[in-house]
Amino acid sequence: MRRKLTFLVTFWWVILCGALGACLLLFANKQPVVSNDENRTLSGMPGFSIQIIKEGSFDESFENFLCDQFFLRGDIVDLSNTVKHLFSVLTTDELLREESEEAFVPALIEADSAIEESETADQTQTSPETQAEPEETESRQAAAAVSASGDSVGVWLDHSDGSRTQLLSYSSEDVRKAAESINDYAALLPENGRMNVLFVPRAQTVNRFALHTDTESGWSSDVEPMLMADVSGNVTVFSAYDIFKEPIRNGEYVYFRTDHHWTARGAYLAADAMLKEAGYQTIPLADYTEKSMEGYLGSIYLHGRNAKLKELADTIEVFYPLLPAKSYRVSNAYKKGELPVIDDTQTNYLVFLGGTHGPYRLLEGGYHTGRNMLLICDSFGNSIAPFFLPYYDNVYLVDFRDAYYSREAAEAGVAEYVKRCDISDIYLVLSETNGIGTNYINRIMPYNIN
Amino acid sequence: MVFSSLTFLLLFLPAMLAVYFVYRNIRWRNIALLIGSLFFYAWGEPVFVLVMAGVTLSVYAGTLAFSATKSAAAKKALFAITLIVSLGALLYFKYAAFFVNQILPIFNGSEKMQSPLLPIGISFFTFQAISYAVDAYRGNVRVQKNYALLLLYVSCFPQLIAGPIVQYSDIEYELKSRQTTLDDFSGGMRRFALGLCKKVLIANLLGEMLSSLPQADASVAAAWLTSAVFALQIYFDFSAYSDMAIGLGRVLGFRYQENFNYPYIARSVSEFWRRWHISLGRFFREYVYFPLGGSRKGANRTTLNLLVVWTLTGLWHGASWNFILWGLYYGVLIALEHGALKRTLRKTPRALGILLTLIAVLFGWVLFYQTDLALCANQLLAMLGITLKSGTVCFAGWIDAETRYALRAYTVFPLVAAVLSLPILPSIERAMNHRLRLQRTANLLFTLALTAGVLLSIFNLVADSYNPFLYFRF
Repeated sequence: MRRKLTFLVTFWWVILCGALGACLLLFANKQPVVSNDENRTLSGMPGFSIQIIKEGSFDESFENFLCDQFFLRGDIVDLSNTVKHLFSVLTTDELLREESEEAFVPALIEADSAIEESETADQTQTSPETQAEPEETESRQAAAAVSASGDSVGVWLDHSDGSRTQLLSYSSEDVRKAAESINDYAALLPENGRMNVLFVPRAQTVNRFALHTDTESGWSSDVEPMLMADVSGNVTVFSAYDIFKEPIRNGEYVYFRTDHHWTARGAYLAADAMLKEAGYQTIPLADYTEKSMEGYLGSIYLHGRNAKLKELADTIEVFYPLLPAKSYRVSNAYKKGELPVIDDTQTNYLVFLGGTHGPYRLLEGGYHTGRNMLLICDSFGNSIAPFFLPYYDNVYLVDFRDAYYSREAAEAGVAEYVKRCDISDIYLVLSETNGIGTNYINRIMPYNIN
Repeated sequence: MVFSSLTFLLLFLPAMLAVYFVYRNIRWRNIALLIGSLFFYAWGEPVFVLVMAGVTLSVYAGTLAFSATKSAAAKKALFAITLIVSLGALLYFKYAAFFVNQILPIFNGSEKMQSPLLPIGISFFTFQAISYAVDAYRGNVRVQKNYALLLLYVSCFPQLIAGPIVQYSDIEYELKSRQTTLDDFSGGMRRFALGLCKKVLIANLLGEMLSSLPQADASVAAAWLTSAVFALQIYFDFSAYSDMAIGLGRVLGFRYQENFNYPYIARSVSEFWRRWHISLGRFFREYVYFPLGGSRKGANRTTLNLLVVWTLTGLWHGASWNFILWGLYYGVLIALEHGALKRTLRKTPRALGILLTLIAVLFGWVLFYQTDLALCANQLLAMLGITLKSGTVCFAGWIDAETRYALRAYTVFPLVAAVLSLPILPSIERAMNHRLRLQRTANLLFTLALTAGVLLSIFNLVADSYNPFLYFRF
């Protein structure tokens, strides 16, 4: 009896597998569809031709179709990952730090191999003079001193016990290259034009401080002072580490936990700091109409879909422009098609501007200030751009990443755009992934200037 | 097509079995199996199926020719031609570029020959074809006059892609007459399911862990862990394919010989190779080592024979210097075990023997894993705690942050895999054999556990396609 039962079970394996295969062929979606979670096109049923058969690519395409269009695929991925993660003892912190892709990231230094600098109690008690906000000239002198001190500069996480850990490290050569690239863009501006630069850490870096304010006392960066020493007079380099230090200490929600981006609140703080420096009287965040969406699981979660991270689900705060705003895709300095400024249909970071659309983007906020700005950015620019609306007639955005920008689509270089669009100020807001030492700033930006 | 794919599991296998078992007549079953096997191969290699048919045709024609010849010299000559022709495809596709690129620089040639695309499973089906030709020449098997049956032997889908290397004599009878009982079907399917679980749930995950480890010379732990994880991965991967092949063979009425027998409990390197890829060892022993004289022509000749056999074994695995060194490494170790270390080995306690063999095998896997000889040397040095930094010899460090992270990310998984690589299941089975009722209940429970395993394997195959491009996104 049991032998027959064993046979029946194995016999049913074959029957059920066959039935599942037949159902997939008959009922699964055969057209390619875009997956929001994976940001790629899920394969459809491949076309059948002699050429494809000869090349031997049909089998791979067909297997991709079966996997991508499998019934309840999302749930299966979740279940499979949950089982896989049973073997892992990684803490939530480690999971949050996990890279979300194999992208270039400056030498990220793990705590274990990090340069630990224990400082004596005397050294940690810095004098009031050094704590004071330095004048611009002093800052440049300090930067020159840093520049002369070694071949690399870093970002430091300060521990409550007085020691500190290096989070990121950049070579002096890369900082110099970044300065050259920035100066070339600053040179495009009219006489009274200013260029503001902000290199933004990702959540993986920020949350090492933000989620541990009990053991971490702060952070600092040697990068911005060094960069400041090398840039032209009409350029201001801002330090995201300085901007966010106090808000993080005060427990403000400036970065997502399960996504690598800053929150709209964090983006506002950055915009506010840059605008204030330029002499604007800024609008308080409380004046904006706000909407919150809870239960957001972003890119860091989606990387491994680890169930542990669900406990840290984020809230997306959206701040609507004060006046009715419009947004357009722009090519050759002409408006081509209207796009949303806040896309209410989205439940993730795509809510900001509805995602990136190249080659250029224009935001019109209905203000008449006589000035236009160009924001050179990556995805971090999408949430900060709306906060510039009250201060400029037109806010132009460009994201030079390959997926969004091409010289052919833009039909002209940035120098031409600056002239045609009458750009007064340029803002450069780039994340670690596209910041100092990357192709974006070393190659793509210089290439696209003319 | 590979076994661990949805195309195979959900479409090909059910359809193949349905068509196969619809017929009761062996002739029609063979026709169905041959067409199915050619389709299985052509699915991913539509052009190279002709190479396989060609190799089989050369052996078919050659054996017919030399079997019809009465003159011993002519027979020998025809046999030699048959071997050369049937080996031709393998030599061209797998080895020509390697050897030409070694020779060209000697004559100041600056150009390099590009390796042609390698037909999948060519080493396996060529060796099967050769084993038939040699056995037919020796008179160990009858000459097959039906080309379709010979092609079915060479191309039979369960063992086509990754072995085991089935000798013609093993299935000569079954090609003409075979049947599948209920026990064969359920036993074969369970073996297949076990192999599927080993491949998808263990080997693939070990592969993930391996790719998460840093460069192997990052620290002592990284070097040893890379070798150990690779040892487990290749064992579970390769033995899984053999399990699936043996299981499917049984379902179809063929009895293939075992290809693995818990190699990591071997107490000597010679024993390791009697437990690892048994069908390859058997092939080289019967068709190369014995014809060279084996161990019957004195100690020096035995050593030479061993080195020849193991160099060829290394080359069989790939046309690259690291594989040749890997083969030679085992040749030297086995020659030592047969000679100078023979007595010492007999006196060595079993546990110590296993430990020393394991260490030797882990060093061996470095030669197999690292195709770049410089990286290979770096890992071997790091295993000994040495690293070279700008020409200076220094300590590699016990453990680095990335290795520690990988260990935390996969924690108990390599341990589970290591335990499963030991003969625990057969021990439990043996213990229960005394109590029939218990054994049957356990069989049923095992089948149910495998059902969950198959389901999880399918889920894992689907989940592996999850491939987010996140930064690209916004």
